Amino acid sequence: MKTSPASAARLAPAATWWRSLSRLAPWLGWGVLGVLVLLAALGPLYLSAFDLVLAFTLFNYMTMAQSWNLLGGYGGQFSLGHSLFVGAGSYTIAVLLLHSGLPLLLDLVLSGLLAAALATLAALLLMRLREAYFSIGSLGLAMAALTWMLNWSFTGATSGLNLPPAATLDYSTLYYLALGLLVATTLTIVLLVRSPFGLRLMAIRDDQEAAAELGVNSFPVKLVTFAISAFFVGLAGGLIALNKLEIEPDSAFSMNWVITMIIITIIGGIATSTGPLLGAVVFFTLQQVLQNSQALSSLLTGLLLILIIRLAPEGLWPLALKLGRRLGEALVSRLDRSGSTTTATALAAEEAVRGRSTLSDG
Amino acid sequence: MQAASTVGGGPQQANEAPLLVLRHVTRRFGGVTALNDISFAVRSGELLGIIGPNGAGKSTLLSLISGAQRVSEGEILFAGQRLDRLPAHAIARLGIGRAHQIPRPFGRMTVLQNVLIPVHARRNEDPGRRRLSDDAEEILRLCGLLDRKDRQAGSLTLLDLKRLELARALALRPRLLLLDEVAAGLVGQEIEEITQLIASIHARGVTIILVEHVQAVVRALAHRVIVLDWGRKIAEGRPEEIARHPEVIAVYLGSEQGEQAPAHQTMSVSEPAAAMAAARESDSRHTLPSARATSTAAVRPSPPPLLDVQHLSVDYGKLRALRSLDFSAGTGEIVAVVGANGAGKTTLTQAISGLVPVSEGRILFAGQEITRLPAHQRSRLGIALCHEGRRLFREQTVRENLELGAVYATRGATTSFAQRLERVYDLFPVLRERAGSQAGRLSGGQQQMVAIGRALMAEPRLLLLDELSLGLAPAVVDQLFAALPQILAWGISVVLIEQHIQRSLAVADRVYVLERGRVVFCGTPDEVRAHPALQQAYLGVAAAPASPAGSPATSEHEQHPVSGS
Repeated sequence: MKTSPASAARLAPAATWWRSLSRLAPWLGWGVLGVLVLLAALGPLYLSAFDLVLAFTLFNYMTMAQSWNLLGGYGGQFSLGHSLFVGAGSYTIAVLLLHSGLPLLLDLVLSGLLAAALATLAALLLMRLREAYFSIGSLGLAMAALTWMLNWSFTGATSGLNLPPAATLDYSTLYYLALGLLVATTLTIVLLVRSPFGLRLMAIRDDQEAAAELGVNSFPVKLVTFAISAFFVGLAGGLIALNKLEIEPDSAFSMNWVITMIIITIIGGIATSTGPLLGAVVFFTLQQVLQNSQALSSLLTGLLLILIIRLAPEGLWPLALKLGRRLGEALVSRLDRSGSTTTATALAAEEAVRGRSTLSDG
Repeated sequence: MQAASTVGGGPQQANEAPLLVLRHVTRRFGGVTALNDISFAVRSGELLGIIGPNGAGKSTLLSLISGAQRVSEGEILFAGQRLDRLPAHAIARLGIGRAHQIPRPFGRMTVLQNVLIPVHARRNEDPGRRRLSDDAEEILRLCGLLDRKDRQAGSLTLLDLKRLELARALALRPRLLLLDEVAAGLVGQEIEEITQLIASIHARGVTIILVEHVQAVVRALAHRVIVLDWGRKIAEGRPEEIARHPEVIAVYLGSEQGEQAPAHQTMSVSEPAAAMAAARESDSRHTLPSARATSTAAVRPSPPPLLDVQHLSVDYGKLRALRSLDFSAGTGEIVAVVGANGAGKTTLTQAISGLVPVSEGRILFAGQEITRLPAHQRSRLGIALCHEGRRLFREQTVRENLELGAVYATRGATTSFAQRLERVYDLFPVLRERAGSQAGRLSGGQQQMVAIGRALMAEPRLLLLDELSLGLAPAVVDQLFAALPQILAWGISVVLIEQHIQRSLAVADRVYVLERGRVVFCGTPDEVRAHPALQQAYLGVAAAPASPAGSPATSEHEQHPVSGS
């Protein structure tokens, strides 16, 4: 009799605690993110030069996947042409460093802006196309750009360009540039997709005609999205050039860039802002661990991709969220049940006693 | 009061100038004229109903007003401004909202986000973000969706999706609301709820154009009704007038039901009917089990029917399209299936041919259970479907289409390919002449002939004809109907879905009347003509001239006054 209120009092907090935790979850997420950014910001204090270069590459993957995800995930415009913007960024910064004498940071920003300008022009051509036609069209533009660069003597045609020795940056500077770009990209995209602009973008993705009949002018929305996406990819391309110091068309404009962006986004979770970050970690880890056997690495990545598309098509991050929520709820209900079972047994015993007494009464 | 300020649109002036004017509006798709010289005006504050059979051009009309499609000729004016040159988003921002027949939610966004899209689109008045989301919540409350505002729109039930369509259109703060079949697919109580919702929106001063098949909704709400048929405006008037209008009744039920049917229609109906009867007597009648005799006594023909559908239910997501439906077709029978749009006629043919999965019930064909068989295996057993919309291989020639139909002939086919081709050419001689033409370049009627011919090339035992005459000129329809006796003579049973009721009654052995996924009546054509179920199914009224007895709906109501709960 006395145990039941006591146990209820002891066990109720488990449920309320969980409820308040799930209400705090977004803030918790931001907190974890803040700690991670802080840890990353202190990276050069505890990371070796080799690790810094690895982290630099990882950050660039994250930036590029995040940018692709804005257009391909939130916007539903499945671009296969984003390699064009990597190459455009790389070549712009190289040409500016070689010929202009402008400060390096300005060159970097200009490389992003040129990519955005190219994207705007491309959008004027491509935005009338839908779905697969858009994808093929964007792929065609990227391949045309590659062919052009292979033949353009101003940029050294097939042999490419070498950046001037003055452009050589130390590893921690490159690291901070990549980290800064990643943070800026992620913040911009998170804010963008939560704004009315982002709502319009997602509405167009879900049903363009219905959106138009609700007052959404799809053309400028898609155009701006394409330009923003290309801007950040162009900046990443500029950073990649600063790291490699020598660039040539086949690698700067390689299809591998866009394939990597897509694989990372799909593994991590398309149309989520954390997915591309998580996907990049998974993809990059696989690539690094198995770097001595390229074939195995590609095979495993492909296998992972197939598994995700088959089993969790929304990606790893939504899957992790779902599992976490389920686990938490299961844990809470387990705690509650162990509490309520003692209550229940007490009640049952009480009832049994009463029942017996009524029986005996009868 | 607050809701009124949210939804009520611009300042309400009771001026006489019409809000919306259509002048000689015509819309063509290729060679097909979907709307032909439509003119009408809508006064501010009016609630105008638009009705008409399938393919009459009602949704096209709304699309022209909303800017989703362009007019081919004519002009549309809204508050004195030309609409027909504006893009859809600009028209929406002028205050014209549209709710679609098939809900088009932004499925991966929440309900609130869905409504915020049109709220944000009203840029002209921008009193800050907080006000706007208050607006959205106010509209969700009005539409009964507030408690579901954080749900993913894709997870809503059909009724809620319809409400969301309305809510989004309302969030534009429209002066004109275009409602396309908002009651379609809903049942009983749900229809009443949506009717009340529309009435309350209209009471707030919004002008409404209502396209609707559920006649009860139109009769309850509309001040004035325009009837479209074949892209033409055939009648206009108050709802009660329209329900009695002979040409309207003729459009829905065929001319025999209309009292003063136009002469040419009577001709075109009776002629093939007579031909049918003659053909029936001459060649096929004596070979058939006398379906007509048995069907007066019982619904099922004497054993065993070629096709036997038992307690069939089919669901599209949350929408139950067929509800425990029994259906059968005997060897050598023509079975007609009639009923209003959305009654489940096409779904029935698709369930029989294996194109939609069955939720409950069984389908037996020639004594074999085929409920779970894939479509291609059913066609090997001898079930052929002529789709609504034909689905020809448009780039291929007529002859290639026919050959493709013969690739998977029924097992145990008794005729050779050449014989069957000859048979189809004899049936439709024009196909022989145009054998080398691309199928996509033929006229609509000729394409329908190719579609039927292609189905016949497999030597089926059962031919399902879905909307045989939809969108075709009367003379062509006559030719198609004239072919039916010959098809029957080859020992092929026919299930006929046809919106010209009188034509299908004239050729059918038995008729099923469907209403909202159920069989509400089954019997011989004469029995169906005498029974009020048919008018009930199409016009929502049982004021049939041929029904002296009370309609089942009213008598049922009298017996169970509280059944409405």
